Amino acid sequence: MTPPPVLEVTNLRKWYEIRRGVIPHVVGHVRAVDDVSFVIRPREVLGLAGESGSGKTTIGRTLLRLVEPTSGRIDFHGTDVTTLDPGALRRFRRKAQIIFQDPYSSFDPRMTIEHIVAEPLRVQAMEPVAQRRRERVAALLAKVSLSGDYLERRPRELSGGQRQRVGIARALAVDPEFIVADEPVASLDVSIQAQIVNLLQDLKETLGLALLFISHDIAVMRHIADRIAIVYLGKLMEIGSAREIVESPRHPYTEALLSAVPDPDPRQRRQRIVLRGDIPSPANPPSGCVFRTRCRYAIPACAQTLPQLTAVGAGHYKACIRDEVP
Amino acid sequence: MRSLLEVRDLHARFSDRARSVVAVNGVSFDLAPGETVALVGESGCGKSTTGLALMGLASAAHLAGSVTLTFKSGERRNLVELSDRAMQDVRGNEVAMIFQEPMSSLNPVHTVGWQIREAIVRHQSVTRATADDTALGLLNQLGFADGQRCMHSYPHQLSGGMRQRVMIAIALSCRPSLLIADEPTTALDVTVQAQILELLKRLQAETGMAILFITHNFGVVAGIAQRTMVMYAGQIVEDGAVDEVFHSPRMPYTRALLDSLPHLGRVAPGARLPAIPGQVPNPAALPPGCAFHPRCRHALPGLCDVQAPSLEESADQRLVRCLRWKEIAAGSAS
Repeated sequence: MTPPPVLEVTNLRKWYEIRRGVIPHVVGHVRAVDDVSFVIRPREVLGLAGESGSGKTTIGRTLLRLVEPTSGRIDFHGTDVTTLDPGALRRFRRKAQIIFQDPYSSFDPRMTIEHIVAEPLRVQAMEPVAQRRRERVAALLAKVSLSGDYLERRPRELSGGQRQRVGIARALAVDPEFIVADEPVASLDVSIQAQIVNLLQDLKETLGLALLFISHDIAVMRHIADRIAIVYLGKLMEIGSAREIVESPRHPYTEALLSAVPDPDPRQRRQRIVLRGDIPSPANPPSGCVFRTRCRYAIPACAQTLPQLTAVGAGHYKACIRDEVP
Repeated sequence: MRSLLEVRDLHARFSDRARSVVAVNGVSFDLAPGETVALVGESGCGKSTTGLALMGLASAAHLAGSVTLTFKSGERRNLVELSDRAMQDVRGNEVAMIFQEPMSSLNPVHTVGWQIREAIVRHQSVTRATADDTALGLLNQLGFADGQRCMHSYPHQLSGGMRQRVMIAIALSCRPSLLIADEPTTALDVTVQAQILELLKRLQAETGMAILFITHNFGVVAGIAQRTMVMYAGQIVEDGAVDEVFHSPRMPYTRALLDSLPHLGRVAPGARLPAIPGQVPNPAALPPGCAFHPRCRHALPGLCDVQAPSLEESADQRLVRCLRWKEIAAGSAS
């Protein structure tokens, strides 16, 4: 039996208003996130993959209400997060945290590493005794393989990989059970990426964390995620087990995205499907299926019908009206 | 065949009163006409400084060594010795460069057409109308559906992929024989990256230019280059055909880097990635001996931390900078 989800997202929508005119009035909407639904189960890593502008970062931030959703529900253990008052929201963030792509820009450069990692504890009024707090921070740093020597250092003295370790320690400070990791390895050197991916995986195992792992790098995602969701222009295109998504994608966009991933093995060169053009503007998305303008399987019906997520296998869904492709 | 570019013992040193940093430490290589060579390495390894030095753009650095380029006229000159004035004629005409972030290379207050025309008029004595025709032709060749409209667009009106194509149009406007591409697809999405790589390959087939492709992404290397040079701490540590370097890397750094990549279908998902311990050394404080030895699992105390390896050429035309590569390849090294 599958355990109840940690997080259940239903018809999540984030539309930004476009205002124009001398007396500003709404002339349209940027549909950053449009009717997205998924669940994350305990101890599960859900990968969220898509290109820039697909809305993946907005989804991650909306889940923690760092960005307010326009509509939809976000149930955390059965409680709708979107309606929480400030006090309840703060208690929710004890359980749900975020790791950013570039920790440097999320650190106050004047603060010591100790203060950076202790900040969530202060916000949550946890560990008020200075000595105990310091011990807790040192233990957190140890969890991410940084020695106590780093307590007094400042962000600029650290390398990119070390800073990301501090960012992870800060997210772990309040003992969360769910973490949004937004491109946690994208700004790191190749030789450091593997260190951080291993660390996240260890933490997930030992702490029993559920993770939303946001990335544009499908190879890293295949490695760490249990399931993968593919987003394009604010909409969910396909979701399923990491293995099925990578080995037998059923949505034309997933197929094209995978074929574009450059393989380091020169003998493994696959047939590359080169998508033409760019992502359309989310302020003016195509009618019907939003991917149809770049899809090599598009038929006239794709412009009329808004495809719904339908099952194509066990736990595997795609939003495409053409069952037979790819 | 005579080489197009001969780089010999290139050094680039940045210094101020307090300290001196050798960013490029004795780099030598040849580039044949029409060849694509990938220069691959992590940040701080000196790959971008090498590219800038070839372009005469590493103005803050003290350069030593020689960079001999065969001009279109057949003349051979050492670019390191050329005056700034003479280098201006070389840039664009003989060698051109494209960068990671096209937005910072394009002028935001001029149209795309103005900027391509500027490059053409700078090097060729043609009228404005002819230059415009050339510019439009280039944009069409680069896959712009509406080249005319693009000519009148400002950089901010274009997407990242379109901007990079505009940069390529400017770079190719005077038909250089060498294109230096410094991480041109790093800021782009994978689907757009695939478009740009296909485009560069097609343009190379059409123009016969050589490409020095600087990247940190081994996947991109495999997709575009025939030969690859791996850089670490300012030096080339391995050089060979892409296929061979990928399948039998000799320098432990190359091997470790390739092993640490989670590529689709190689490492079992969920298993630990074989990460390289430690971090890239600070170029101002390089370790003695082999610069990679503190992170190398084959490092032998008393040897690798004492003796600096030279770039050794083997019979199969591959170069490797490692004191123990033969033992490691034979499987006899611990």
